Amino acid sequence: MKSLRYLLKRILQMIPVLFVAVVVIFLLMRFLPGDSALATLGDKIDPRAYEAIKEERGLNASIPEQFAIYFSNLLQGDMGTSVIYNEKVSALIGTRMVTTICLALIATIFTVLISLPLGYLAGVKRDKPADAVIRVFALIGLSSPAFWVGLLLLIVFGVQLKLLPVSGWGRSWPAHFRALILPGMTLAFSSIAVLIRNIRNNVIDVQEADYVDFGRSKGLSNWAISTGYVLRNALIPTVTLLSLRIIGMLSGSVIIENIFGLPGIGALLVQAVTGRDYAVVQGCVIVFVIIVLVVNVITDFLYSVLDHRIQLGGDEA
Amino acid sequence: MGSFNLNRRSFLKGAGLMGATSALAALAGCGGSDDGGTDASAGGDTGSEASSYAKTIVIGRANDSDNLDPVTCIGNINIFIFNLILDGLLKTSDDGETIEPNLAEDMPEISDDGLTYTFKVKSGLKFSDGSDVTAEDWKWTFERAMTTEDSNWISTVENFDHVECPDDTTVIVTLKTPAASALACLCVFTLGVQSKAYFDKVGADEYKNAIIGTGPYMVKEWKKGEYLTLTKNPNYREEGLPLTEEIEFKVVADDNSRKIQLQSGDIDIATDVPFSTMKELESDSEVAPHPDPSTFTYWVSLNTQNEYLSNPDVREALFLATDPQEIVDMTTYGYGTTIGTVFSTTSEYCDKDLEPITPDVDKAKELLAGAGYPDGFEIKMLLKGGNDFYASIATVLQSQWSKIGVNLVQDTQEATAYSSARKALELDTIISGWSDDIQDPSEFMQFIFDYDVTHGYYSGLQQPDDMVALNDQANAEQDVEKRKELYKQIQQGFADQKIFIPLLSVPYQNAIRKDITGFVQTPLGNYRFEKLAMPASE
Repeated sequence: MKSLRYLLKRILQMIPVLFVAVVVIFLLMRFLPGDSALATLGDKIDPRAYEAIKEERGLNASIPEQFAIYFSNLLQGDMGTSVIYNEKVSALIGTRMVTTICLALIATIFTVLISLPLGYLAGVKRDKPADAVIRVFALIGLSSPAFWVGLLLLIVFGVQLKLLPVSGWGRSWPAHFRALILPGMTLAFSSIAVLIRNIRNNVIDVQEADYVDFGRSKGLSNWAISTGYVLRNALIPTVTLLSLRIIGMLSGSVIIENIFGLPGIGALLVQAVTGRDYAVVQGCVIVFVIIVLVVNVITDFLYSVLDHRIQLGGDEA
Repeated sequence: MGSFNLNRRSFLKGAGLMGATSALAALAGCGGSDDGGTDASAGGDTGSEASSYAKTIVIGRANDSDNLDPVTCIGNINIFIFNLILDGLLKTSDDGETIEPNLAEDMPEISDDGLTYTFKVKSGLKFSDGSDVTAEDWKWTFERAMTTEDSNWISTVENFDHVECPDDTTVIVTLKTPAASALACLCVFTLGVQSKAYFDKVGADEYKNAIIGTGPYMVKEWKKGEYLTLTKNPNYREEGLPLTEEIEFKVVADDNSRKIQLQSGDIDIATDVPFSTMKELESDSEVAPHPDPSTFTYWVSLNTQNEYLSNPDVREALFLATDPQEIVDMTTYGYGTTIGTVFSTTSEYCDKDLEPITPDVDKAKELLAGAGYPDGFEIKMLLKGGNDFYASIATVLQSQWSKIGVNLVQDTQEATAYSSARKALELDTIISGWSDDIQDPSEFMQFIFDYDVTHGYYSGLQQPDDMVALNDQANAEQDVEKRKELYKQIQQGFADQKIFIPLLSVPYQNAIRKDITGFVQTPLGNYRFEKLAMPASE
């Protein structure tokens, strides 16, 4: 019950945060020089067409008026229409979101699958050759910019080995999946490095804890100690870090989606900002804010699963 | 712990399961369907006819189209593909040098007063949906192009007074004043005949997503931001054409990715290829640069309202400090050509007698000293962020002008902020570019002479009466030779005003697979793909 109430409270807390985000991004976009009519017209501008487009898009109204119109539509669930795509923003974001979520999901899976065993191994084999190799790998990962790693992977796997598509999204689910491997790997690269170091340190700390010695003295097998004691307790700080990295992946997707030509929300956002496609920028920001808030709630929930001493809404009682 | 039922065991089990499924899925993905690969092999599968051509040719572009309605659309990215879908009465030849009949049987009959153009239209024309092209469609197409308020192309059809279509095969266009540019204006993409019935059915908004015309291709599928697929028009009037069944325009935003996709065969043609990449591809075994001549010219506009640049001697000094050849060499890897006038080099009205600038630093220094600036001064150049080409030109100019003590500061702004500053003439100097939409200088001249449109192309100079008179004469003059003479005087006038430093013209930056034939991009930029073909891969 308590946890449910806690969840409800967290959801209600999202509302003022969202409102502030909407106001801020609305104003920011309006204070950028130029307007969507100018952006649409590009290099050759006939002043008559410019005025006609401004009028048609309601850009001649005052900013408070524009906000009132936007906000009342938003309350009715209408995020507006994209001037670049001539499509409802909700529909546009819906389709683009699938790509970005798949990308973040695959990157997360790569991150977990690679960093968990390597980080653990490095921690257990502290200061042995395996540890040194893994640490060098992590260092390289940390210091390589994503756009460079992306291009490198493209050249090796796409152009030279021709194993994976160079870019694009494909037309079917198996094709989508293949298309996501390289960008997913690129996006995961720096997270993997961070997580390896984090897990390694946690494992080292936990191994020295009293309860691990206690477990050994009870005669538990190495496997039981590793999974039940060491790994489990080492993972708690890692979960926080991972959730932060997932949020980071959303911003990373802006760069990755452009390199790999993926039609995701990051690429959409960049295009919408340069095109002064106000409704789309506002829509994307709302969605990003919601994702960040939701990931935070999920993280809290995972804590309580990993550590029973942490109870959701416990401080309330 | 209460209401959460997940216990430790089920959580770990769940995590394990997740790992296993993802690994399986990854294997399935790699193992592989051929779905993501090229469509070239599909040519063999069409069955009915054993075509030796690939079924689909994929063209990589940096951006996607955003509006397929020729009247309300903006930007070359939309305009370039209209010749694939729409046909007008007339068209420019593939080399852009002449104007020839397209849907008209012949060139029009022109009345003695030069005001009435009567066209005999080919009979039996059908739209791609199978419906007949009627008099109503012609009249509607013209009138919509002439009266739609938010059309950016209205200036090209401004001189048309009205259009009559007494029957399905006659179109009579009446001009407001006699004009030599009328034939060129009749080629403009907004006048490609379109189906009124279809427009009425779908409405103006949906019309931006798909149009119906009589051209070799029609819209098949458009996934915005990803790809636009055109397929053969089954009712195309020429038997056996087009050769390739489908053309796919695929968006590959990143320059490097586009090059890599071309080399790996994911795309067959790349557009918007940087000059450095074109140079690099010269030695590639599979693909080659394809620099088609364009109407693009670039120059530096000097704002005469700036305190330094208001002095003609200062402007002349900047002219003499500029070395266009060095700019061509350093920014286009030899693909560009120096120019002596801002007119498109492919235009018959371009005055080829005007020579590109020969730099003379000593004289430039003298002029500056004479104007009272022996130590030079500092001015800004407004630049569009993300445009590497403009940035590289500015960098070369910076070093050239520094030789006479002028410190050029790059004022780089994000694209729309740049447009906004430019529109308000908040600039000292700017790199300007032009490309024609019709094979006639009248459109370009309107942009310079109508001060409200571009502040005299960002020179801040309202053209004097004698120049305006010359331009009016050139617009009305019917005789090509006399018109050439008038435009020659106008170009000489610009040269004397020292407001535009002519730099270079450039070709279209395409790269294509070597086995592709029939790739045509006219100087106006229109793609003509009736004979575009690529051998089917075995």
